[in-house]
Amino acid sequence: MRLVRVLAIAAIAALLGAGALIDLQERPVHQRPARPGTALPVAFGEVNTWFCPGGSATGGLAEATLEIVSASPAVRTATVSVLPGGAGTVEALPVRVEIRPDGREAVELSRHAPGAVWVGAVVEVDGPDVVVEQVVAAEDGGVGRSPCLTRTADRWVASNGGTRLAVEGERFVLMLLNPFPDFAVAQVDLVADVGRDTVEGVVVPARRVVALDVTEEITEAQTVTAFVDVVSGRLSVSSIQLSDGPDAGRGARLAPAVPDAAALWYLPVASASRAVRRDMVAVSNPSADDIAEVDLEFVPDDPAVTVNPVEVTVGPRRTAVVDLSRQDRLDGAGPLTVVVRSLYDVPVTASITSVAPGDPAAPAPTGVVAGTTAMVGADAAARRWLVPVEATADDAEAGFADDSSGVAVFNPSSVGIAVVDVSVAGEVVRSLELGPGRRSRLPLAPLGSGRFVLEFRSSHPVVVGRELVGLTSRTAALGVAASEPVPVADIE
Amino acid sequence: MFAVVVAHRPGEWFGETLESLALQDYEPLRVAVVDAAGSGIADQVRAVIDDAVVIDAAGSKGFAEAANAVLTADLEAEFLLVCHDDVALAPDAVSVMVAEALRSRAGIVGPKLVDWDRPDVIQQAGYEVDRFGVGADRAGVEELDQEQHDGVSDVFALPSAALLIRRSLFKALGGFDGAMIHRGEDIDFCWRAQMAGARVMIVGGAVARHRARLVERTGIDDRFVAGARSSLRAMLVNHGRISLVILVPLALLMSLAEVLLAVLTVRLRRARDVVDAWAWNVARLDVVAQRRRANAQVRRVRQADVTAMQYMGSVRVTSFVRRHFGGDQHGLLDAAGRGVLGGFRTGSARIAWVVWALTAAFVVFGSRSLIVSGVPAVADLAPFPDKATDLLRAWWGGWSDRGTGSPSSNLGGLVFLGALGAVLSNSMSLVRTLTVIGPIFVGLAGAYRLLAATGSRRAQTGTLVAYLLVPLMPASVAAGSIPGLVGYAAAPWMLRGLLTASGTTPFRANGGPTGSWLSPAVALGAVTGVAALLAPSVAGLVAPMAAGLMIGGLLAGRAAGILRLAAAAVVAVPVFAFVMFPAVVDVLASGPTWQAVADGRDGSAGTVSFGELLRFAVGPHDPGARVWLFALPMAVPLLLGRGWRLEQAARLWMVAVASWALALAAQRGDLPFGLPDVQMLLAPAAVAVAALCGVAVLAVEHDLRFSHFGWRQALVPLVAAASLVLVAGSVALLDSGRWGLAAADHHSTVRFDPPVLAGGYRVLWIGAPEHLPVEGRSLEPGLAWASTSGDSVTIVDRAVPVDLGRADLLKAVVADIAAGRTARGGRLLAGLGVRYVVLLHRLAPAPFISADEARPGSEAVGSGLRSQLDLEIVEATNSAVEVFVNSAWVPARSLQAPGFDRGVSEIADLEGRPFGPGVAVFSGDGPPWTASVPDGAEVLVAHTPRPGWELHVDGEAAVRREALSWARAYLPSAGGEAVLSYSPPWWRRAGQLVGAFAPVVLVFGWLRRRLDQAGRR
Repeated sequence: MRLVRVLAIAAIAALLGAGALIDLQERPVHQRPARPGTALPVAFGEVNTWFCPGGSATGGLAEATLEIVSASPAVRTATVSVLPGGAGTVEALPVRVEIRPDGREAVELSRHAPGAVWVGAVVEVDGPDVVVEQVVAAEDGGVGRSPCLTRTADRWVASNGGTRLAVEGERFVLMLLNPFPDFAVAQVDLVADVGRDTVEGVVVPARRVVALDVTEEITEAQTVTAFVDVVSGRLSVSSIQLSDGPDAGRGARLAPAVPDAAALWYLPVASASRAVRRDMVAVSNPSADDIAEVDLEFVPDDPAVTVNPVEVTVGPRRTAVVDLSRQDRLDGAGPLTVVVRSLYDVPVTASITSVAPGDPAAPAPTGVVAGTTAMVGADAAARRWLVPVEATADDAEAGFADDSSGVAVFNPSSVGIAVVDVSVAGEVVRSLELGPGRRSRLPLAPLGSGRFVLEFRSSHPVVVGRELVGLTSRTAALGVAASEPVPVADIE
Repeated sequence: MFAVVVAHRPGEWFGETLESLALQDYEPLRVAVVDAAGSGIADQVRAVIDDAVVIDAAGSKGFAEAANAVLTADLEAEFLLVCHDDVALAPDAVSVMVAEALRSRAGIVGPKLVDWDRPDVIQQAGYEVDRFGVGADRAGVEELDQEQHDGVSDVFALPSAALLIRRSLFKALGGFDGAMIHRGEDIDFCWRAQMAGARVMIVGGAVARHRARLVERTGIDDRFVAGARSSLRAMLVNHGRISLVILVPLALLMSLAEVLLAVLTVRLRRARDVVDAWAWNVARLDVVAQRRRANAQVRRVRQADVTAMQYMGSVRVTSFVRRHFGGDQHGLLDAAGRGVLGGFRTGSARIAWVVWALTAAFVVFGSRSLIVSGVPAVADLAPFPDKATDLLRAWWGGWSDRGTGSPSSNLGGLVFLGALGAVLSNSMSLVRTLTVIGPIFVGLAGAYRLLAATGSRRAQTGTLVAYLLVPLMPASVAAGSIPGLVGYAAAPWMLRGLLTASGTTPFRANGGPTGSWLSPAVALGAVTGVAALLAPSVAGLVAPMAAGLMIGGLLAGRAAGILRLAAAAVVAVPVFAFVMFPAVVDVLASGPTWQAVADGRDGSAGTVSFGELLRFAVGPHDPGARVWLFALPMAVPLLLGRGWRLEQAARLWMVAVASWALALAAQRGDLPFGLPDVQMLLAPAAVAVAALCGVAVLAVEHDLRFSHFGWRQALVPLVAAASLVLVAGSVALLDSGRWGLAAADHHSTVRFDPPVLAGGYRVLWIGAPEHLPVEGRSLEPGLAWASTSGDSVTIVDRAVPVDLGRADLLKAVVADIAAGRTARGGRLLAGLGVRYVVLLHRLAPAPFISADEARPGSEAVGSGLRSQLDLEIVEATNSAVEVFVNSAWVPARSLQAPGFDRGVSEIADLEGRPFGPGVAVFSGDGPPWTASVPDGAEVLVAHTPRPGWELHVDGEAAVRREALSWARAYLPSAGGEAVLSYSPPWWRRAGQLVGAFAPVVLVFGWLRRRLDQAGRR
């Protein structure tokens, strides 16, 4: 009996103790992570939805048009729902647009929303390999172009706008698109070099766009960043920057806002060429409390060139703008990719604006084309990209010059070599290998002429951006990821 | 004085009877023997008592008529000692009785009757008699003679085996009622003696051995019919007219109930006997009238004074209730010397009743808000339909609207809840309240009965109180966990069945070598099956309990019961399958699915720590550190116990450990499959903890005295103090009157459009498995989904059907939404008839559940839903819930243009090729539905295409086809009045019927067994 008693007590104590010890270990967490909230335009589904915050109607500040570009060998159908903005507008009926194989269709939005002051659109395409771009044309001839967004979010950051209307002719307009059947309410914090302001209770009715002219809220700011917090609902946001001045350059730039902050960003298209342009990297810290310590790392085309990083401190709700043309360390670096790395994992957003003042004495084609571009960073990479481009005869003349149209491919991996095939209409026109952390810039002229879509297929996730230099304007944007995006933080 | 022995072909024992008379120390005693059979026993008699008088009463029918022969015989004596021929009196019996009769002026005096072969066992000590003329022995079955009946006391009636009767009284009353053969004549005679003002007394100092084997002697078992005839006749003859106005209808009702019970338990002879008793008396009403007139002549005492001495109630009913529900193996009226309610008047019994009363008051007071205001529909506690017939119709319909609809036998408990609702006049709210509070009492009753085999009411009481104080029950109610509540109710009964089947001391079942484990095995299967009718997953509790008992047995060095346990478990399976027959049919038809029991869990980790499991802190409210105090009484049997108490303590500890281990593994995510509510998993631990507390009482009662004075004695005050703290701490549970259940439910904040004009729609629920209003299916770790039909969720929707139909499509769509693969989730859901998507973040709406208790679930799903272009957020709902309305919704039953689904081969195609809403049709409750359909329209019915559905238009069956690859479309040849109906296959209906009757069959089988056992006793 004594043995049974001792044995029983010992066994029970041991089992309970074992349970307590086992439970000291961390429990496995199998929570599926939230969908990576990439800033990239992504389109690889059977049905892809594009959100185009757009611009003004005909005769407005920046007339918005859509361009639907297909890289598919099949006919695709897009349903364009034009969302009007302004008081008293009526909802437009959806427009069905058929896109021929490898074709391109333009949709003038204001035609389908008569009476609207501002117009945006939601485009649903019934297949992959189609890119929807929004184009805004300013009254002075400047053109801004970027792929539409493919997501909505409740936080957005639009950096490095300017409102020096009197001197530089700058106007900075935020386009807020609400594609949902519920109204949305946003609060917009405007943080500028001259101060800050908050626009509260911006109501975006269901299936409408609202344009917020920041110029009227904060005047004469050289740089202003809009932090959009959507209190109710979700929005897609882009910004239109118009300028016509000696410092700000001349033209229009259209850029998507950045929905989610991240600790690592890639800006594949940049240049430190002082002679042609002035590139400025804007790093915004949407956090209300944390200070971000950020390194800007530079990856030139030439692997032999090494550039020390630039260290930046960004306060809460602040934006730091680094003018690359003033960085002596970048002398001779040429085209490059900028890696924005936030230390201590404080998430930030990154974008780059480029101003080419042009040379009035020697206009294009022999001189530099004046214009201004903006491109948000990539927080994700992909194995397949689609990049609509347009190569002009000038590109052929320019050859490999810094200021010609081209695409940049960057391999963010630190260990893997990316083998990249570049195709046009299904035919491989170029193959290249990118070592870990390397980039390559491809001029467009050797790849094709006229309007076409470049398809990039890579063995490893890469980041692709384009820079188009036209006769009278310049645009820059990331490509469109046509495969599952991989967050750059997950890439070794 | 004459001793009158009524003999009827006596056996070899007769000599002993005569010798006992011959040896009496009461000298004036003479002996007369009535030869009832005229068998010529005079020589045998005179060989023992030479001066004995032998009276020939050949032709007499029974004892009464034969004994009455002395009325005409010339026997001069003041007293008559009327005896059977199988009674042997102690030598001083007559003198003691006569002395007492003279001293007390008694009319009738009787001895204490003991068993012929075992004189230490009391056979009879007088009767208690109710107003229906039914008598009950005052002595218990097999009651040992410990001189407890040795006093002298008045009784209402005495057995005729040996009666000392004043001759004048016997003559005045006209002797026994000669029509009463073998049964009841003594009660009737004593009753009439009482009316005549004679005292009837038992003299315990006088002892007589009684053989009492009449059936063996006659070969005819007419005990019941003879008794029934006699008692009914005694009632009719001896009561006043006014009393009879009340008593006759009552007796008739009881007889009808008895007949019904006998028929249901297939005891047809018993039913016939009851009817026969009435018929026999009705045929002799003239005799009844004569005897009533005769009674009037001798009556000296008021009727009220006589009936005041009778048992106020029904002996049969009380005895039945106590035998079958009161747990007394010997019957209510077996408590010798304690009167009818004597069994309840002992010290331990009184404590038990007081504790039970306090327990019931505790539960009722703690549930007062639930009783008064109803049960909020939190989590599993879904509302009930308005009418009982709705429950029955849902059960009988054979179709489940869960998921995308599929054939199902539905929850087996629906039929019984519906029947209860019908009995309670459609008071469905009351039925629902009973389904919450009822399991608590069932569990407590099981806990009380768990240690009944030990014979210690204190141990039983200790177990009862401990089970009440273990905070699992409040946690289950507060969490709205039906499996938790059903587990709480069933676990004690399951453990009792397993312990009894193991045959370990002191749990031994009655019966032969097989019956010792067969009977509890059948009971185990039945209990498990009945519990599974409401919560199928509860059946799984048998496994950890059996495993714990087996391991505990090995730990205690007693492996003997393990094989019996295994055998019992095997036998229990077919019994369980019998009760759950419809589910078995479903599984055979559709294959097994773990989803039906996992309640939306997939084996991922939970949030409850091991310490919280040990403390049963598994509800919204933490019971606090006081629960650790249970460790003290739980340790007592391990520290003090000896013999079987130590062994059983080891077994019970292992049951608790097995339960905790299972719950820990589930909470840590160590299992490759999901398990139901943690409250249910802890039910075995809770009952083991309670039983250990009961065994602690036994250890203190029996084992402490063997210990030297020391620390062990200090355990008792420590345990007492701990118990007081536990009781005091539990008082806080009474505060809300709902055991901490939230005061409001999501149904009060979430409003859906009435489906009357909508053509039917589905609601997709997404949330933590424990938050869903019905059993869910796993969506991703920690998140489950469920879909219901229409604007309300009821108990009908609770179970996941075994046939999952095309519910996989719903899950796929939600997965696409969560992964951001679509911005048109509404269109995809529309194809499945989903109109609303409800994302639950908390168990109940704010502010009834705080934000700290929120389980927001997957951000991916929430973000995905909020990113859909066609899902509109319903504003102004509660912060605990998000509701989306599908702006692309298509009615689940709608009229469409022919070929509406052209080009749609899989659900993803709807994203780019949505079809219009059509025209809603077939709205309201169904099936069947009726509506007018126009010419040339196709009828889309968005449910899993399974056989049995038909659309008839003007009586003509419409052509049907599979539409959209997951729905059904009907193309009537012409418009007209259409009826859309579903007919399940016959074998499913047959299975449902078997399942519905299985518990009834088992209950009546059990009743019959108990009745037979009682009859044998």
